[in-house]
Amino acid sequence: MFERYAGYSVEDFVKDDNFITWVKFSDSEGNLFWSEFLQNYPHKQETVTQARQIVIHLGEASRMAVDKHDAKEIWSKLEPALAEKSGHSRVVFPLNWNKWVAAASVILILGLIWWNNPLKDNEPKAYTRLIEQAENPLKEVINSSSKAMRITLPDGSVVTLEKASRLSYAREFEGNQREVFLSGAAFFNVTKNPEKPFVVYANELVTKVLGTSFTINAFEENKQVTVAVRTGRVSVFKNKDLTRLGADNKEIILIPNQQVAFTKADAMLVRSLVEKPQVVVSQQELRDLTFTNAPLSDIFEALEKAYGVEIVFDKALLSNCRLTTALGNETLFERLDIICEALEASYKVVDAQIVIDGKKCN
Amino acid sequence: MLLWNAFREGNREAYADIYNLYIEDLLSYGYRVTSNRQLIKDSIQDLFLHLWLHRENLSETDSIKFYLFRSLRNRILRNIEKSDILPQTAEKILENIIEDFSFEQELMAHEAETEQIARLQKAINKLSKRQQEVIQLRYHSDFSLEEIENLMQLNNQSVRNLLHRAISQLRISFEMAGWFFLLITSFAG
Repeated sequence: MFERYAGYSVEDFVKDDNFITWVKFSDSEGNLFWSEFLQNYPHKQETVTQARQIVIHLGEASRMAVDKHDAKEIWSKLEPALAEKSGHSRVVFPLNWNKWVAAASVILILGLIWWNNPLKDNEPKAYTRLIEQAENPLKEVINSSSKAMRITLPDGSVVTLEKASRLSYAREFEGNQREVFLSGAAFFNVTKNPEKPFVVYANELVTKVLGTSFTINAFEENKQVTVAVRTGRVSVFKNKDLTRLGADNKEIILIPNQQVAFTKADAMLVRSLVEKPQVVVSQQELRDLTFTNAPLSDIFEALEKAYGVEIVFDKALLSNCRLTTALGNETLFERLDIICEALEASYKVVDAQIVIDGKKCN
Repeated sequence: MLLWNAFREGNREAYADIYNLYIEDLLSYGYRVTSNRQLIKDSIQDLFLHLWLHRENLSETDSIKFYLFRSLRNRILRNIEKSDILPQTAEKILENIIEDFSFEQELMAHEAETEQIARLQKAINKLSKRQQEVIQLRYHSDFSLEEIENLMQLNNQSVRNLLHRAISQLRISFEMAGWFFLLITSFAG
């Protein structure tokens, strides 16, 4: 693990992601790693110290000095603009100013209580129930900072833990699966190990994978728990009773750009597409996606391939439709907006499929 | 998250809090992307106006900061395309204003460390626009490589190359200047 860094120059350290994260956030994970590294390679002390200082200096020096007048000026122009716009639209400010201020401060005070309380006093219940059932002693990481935190698990998987979130996992992944417990939101990049599935318990959902990357959003105060897949394949199970191994329910299999949401109110699992589907083919392949007076079916096929999604439309009905377009920097949905506008068509996402509703072209 | 949700529900104070929290970072980033200050101010005003008017359509976001940076960058690029002024000439004129600006900063650089930072600042300002941007996003704004790819619309390798070249170039300029003893010894080693 350390050998990689043994031959690093100052410049190499300055560019290294793990190193930068440690310097900027000095997370406990990083402290442990780098102090162990220096114990093994004491002659690297000087290099590490210098690289640290350069990273800190780069952070300060790369900031453009800000003219505070600009900040005030924008705000002062923004207020009348808002008042004017709001007057014309349906958005109406509450007339009873006092009442409104009171409501606002309740939200803010709640917010402050949340932030000021050490997370310990505020143990999320579902999460606590789940970790109580763990067999092996768990290590817990709580992110009470204001920034996301990177955690490397014993198997090399990397978790980006969002603020106000916590993660528990065994120091060594023994047994036949790699189990972790999440409260809050996190992005997981799981190392491949088909022998030992990676299992995340997060509120009422259990997510099982062999090696992939995905995001889980499971804050207890939210009505929904969601799992969104970036790469690979993921199985998701309902776990309404919050038992640790009770994941014998029907599973839903997700592929990239799909997500599933568990709604607490009706205990339903609903599959859909993520808000911003990512391109699943290489940038090189994407560059070829320019169309001149092309049949609609070609364009949809290309989009299906680029985003790994399924687009459902009436081939016969739309067979005469032709378009000239180029895939730029737009998101999938922006692109669909443009196409549908040109065709006077509309689309909706149903069970992770995009369904096009249009009419015949002349 | 709480702040963002309160704002989405129409809380004006939460909106003002978001403004105050991020305005300086956004301005700082804007100055880096273009030296047309009016365009930056207009773009930020647009961004926040749009944010309030369309708050009901906004989704929960993992990172407010990332969302704001990306929206600002897109807006600035769009506005540059729209504006009639030739970008080069306008940038030249406004560059001087910015130059004076950092000069003030330099005057305050009494202590050795502040002086080193001021010099590093100068070296960074000599890099290409995109190199400057990537250095600020990575080392000041603390965005991950993944987020920077998304922000700058580049692939992973391009971002890495850009960072690599920027750091190498900074090293060379230190070596040539021959004043920053710490960096000389360290980078050479």
